[in-house]
Amino acid sequence: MTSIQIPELSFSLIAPELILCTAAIVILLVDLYVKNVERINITLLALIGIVLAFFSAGTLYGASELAFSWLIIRDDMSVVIDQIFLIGAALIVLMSHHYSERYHFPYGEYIVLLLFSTLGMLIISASADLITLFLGVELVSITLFVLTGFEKKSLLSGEASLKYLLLGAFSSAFMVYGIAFIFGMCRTTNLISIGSLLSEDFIGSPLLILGFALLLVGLGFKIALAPFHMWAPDVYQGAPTPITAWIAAGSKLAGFIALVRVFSLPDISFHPLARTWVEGIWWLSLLTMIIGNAGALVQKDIKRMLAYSSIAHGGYLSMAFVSHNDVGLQALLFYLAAYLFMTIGAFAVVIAAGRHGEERRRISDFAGLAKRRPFLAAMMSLFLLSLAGMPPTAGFIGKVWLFGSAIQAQYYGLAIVGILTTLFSFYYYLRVIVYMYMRDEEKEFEAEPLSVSLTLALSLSALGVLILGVFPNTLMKVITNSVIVL
Amino acid sequence: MISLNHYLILSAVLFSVGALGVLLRRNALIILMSVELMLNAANLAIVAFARYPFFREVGLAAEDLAVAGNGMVFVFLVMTVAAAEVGVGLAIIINLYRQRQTINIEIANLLQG
Amino acid sequence: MLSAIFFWMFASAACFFAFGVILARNPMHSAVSLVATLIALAGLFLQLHAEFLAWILIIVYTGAVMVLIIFVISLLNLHREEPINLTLARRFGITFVGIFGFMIFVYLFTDSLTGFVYPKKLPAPEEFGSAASLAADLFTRYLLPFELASILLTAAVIGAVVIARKPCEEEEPKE
Repeated sequence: MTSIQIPELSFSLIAPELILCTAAIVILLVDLYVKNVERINITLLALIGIVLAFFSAGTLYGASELAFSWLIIRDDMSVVIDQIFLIGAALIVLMSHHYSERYHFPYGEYIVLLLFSTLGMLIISASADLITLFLGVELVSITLFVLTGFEKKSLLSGEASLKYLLLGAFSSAFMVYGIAFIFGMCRTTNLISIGSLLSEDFIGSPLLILGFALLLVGLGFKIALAPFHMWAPDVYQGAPTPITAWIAAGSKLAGFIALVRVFSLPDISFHPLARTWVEGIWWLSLLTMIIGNAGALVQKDIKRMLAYSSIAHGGYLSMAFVSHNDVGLQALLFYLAAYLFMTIGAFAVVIAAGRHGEERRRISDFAGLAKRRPFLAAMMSLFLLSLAGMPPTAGFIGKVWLFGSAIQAQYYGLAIVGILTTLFSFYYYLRVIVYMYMRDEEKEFEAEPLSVSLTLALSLSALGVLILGVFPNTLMKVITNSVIVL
Repeated sequence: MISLNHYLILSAVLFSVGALGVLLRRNALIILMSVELMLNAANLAIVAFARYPFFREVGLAAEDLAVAGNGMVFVFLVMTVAAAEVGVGLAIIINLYRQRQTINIEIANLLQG
Repeated sequence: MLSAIFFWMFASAACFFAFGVILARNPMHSAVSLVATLIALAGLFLQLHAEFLAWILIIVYTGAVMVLIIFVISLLNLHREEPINLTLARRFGITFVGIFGFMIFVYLFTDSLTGFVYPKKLPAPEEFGSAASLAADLFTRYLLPFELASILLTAAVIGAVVIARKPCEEEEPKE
């Protein structure tokens, strides 16, 4: 019997994760033992946890080390991404506070699961090993399956959570099988070791390519790339709106970060394997842009329309993997941050425009919103224009940067398709704006008055979209530095 | 003599059968069981790989050997995740049955464009 | 020789019952077939000297998970038959999976033909696949994933309880 040696545990490097986990457990216990705890207290506790995690992540800039026997990598990229996730989580908590007033679901458990899903995202961004990556992805997925079904009075919510669960579990099976082949060929699940193995002239056997392809299929389901996108519109439509926003923003972001971790392994850009998956992602990106934008055209339901728009954005974003250069990676990170703000903002307006038992679900329900609630209509226009990519907003800078990276890597065809589909997308985004400003409402509909939390969420998202659009330099500089360190 | 290939082909067959089940059946419970079949097929592949290590001409560097993965741990964790997925899945299925009195995903299909 | 006989026995049983899982009309028959498949897989795990995992597969999967599934099947009283009807889209999908499965075969065989030689089985070190060796790794190098798995299970338990219980007073909208 050999004696067991405990490896070094560097807890300070996973401080944001630990703080978030502690906050979730404290909320769980408070909800359990304190009778009739007010919603506002739970919200405040969650926000305190998120803010603390945000600042503790900030202290980790420049750390750049591997921890926990090479399972965790703490580089600047992971810190930037952690902070983006945490901002997103805070916005979702604010939105949920308002939404739960309206529908009264068990709020304590809801927030705990929301924090756990955020924890999973932080783990993904800091993964240096396929095992931690897999567990992070599963933590995000399983908590989101449950959160999707939280509105138990709603038939749509239950059905959406079942569909999400079945396809999510199906895609996990692909991920596990892919990891199995990668492990079999490389004898390790550590991404850094895999990277250095592949950089030696070890030509990938077909099984290794198969492994990466299966992993891509599994993650493709999670981020709704085109042939694997069928679940997205149904789930987005049925889920409670704050959770829809979190699936569209947080979960998609997490999936892309997982792809970054796997497919931008250091040292292998020149490996023949790299060309293989660039070709694969080229087709997926093309298909996703076309199907997403075409699907969004014919939708009548606003959440389904935003779902297809989010699928289309997945197509633009995966262009970064095709160009496979530093610029692409930087553009991807910037656009992910911008995308988070505009998506969450758009869904926040959808929440704000409804009231108990009656939501504005169809696009035609938004007719005349500008007369009744000019603030909401202005916000919605801002977010939609940013999603479309109008100049003063974050969406424009991000798109230019992304398409630029594809052009720089000489994938002109893909960039042209991207630009054409973007122009095409103006039609369905502007249609909502036309409804809001130029049509008269069909029936009297007074939305709930704006609560403080929702106003905060709306204005923070709007601020994010505008600041990233007008003064993109700060984030650009941070991102550029972090990618160089990588 | 039984080689790695035998185990891999068996796991490929089981995985494909599971995937076929997901596409073929409309009963949510049977789809969930098919997914379990797929996960276990993947587990079989991992255990087989762990048992028949594959050495390359290019040797592993010393530092790589230090982090050579343990497939058993991964299989163990996959089983944990699968159990969690089944637990949540059954809860969701019971919830749906309470709402609709069916777990056929073609009959329970309100979400359409 | 004996090990080959065992392999073919367990492998054919696993394949047979796997088809049983997806083809049985009655969910209960599917569940029992899955139990049989898992037991056959546990036999294969034993062949591969993964003893601890084989016992876990039997105890956790067939002992707990599958019992849970069977319990739900009887709770919901789901013995009715379900006709299998195929739409065009699903035919397409199924063909795709068929081709995909076939490609895996081709890959594997071309591999061994192009001089990609798989080594013989290692002589089993005493600890390979035992509970002790797995625990030694799990609680040192893989401590973090182990803790993450515990968080995942906590989240799953909370979620399952919230979703499966009947809506209580708290969730009723206040008037």
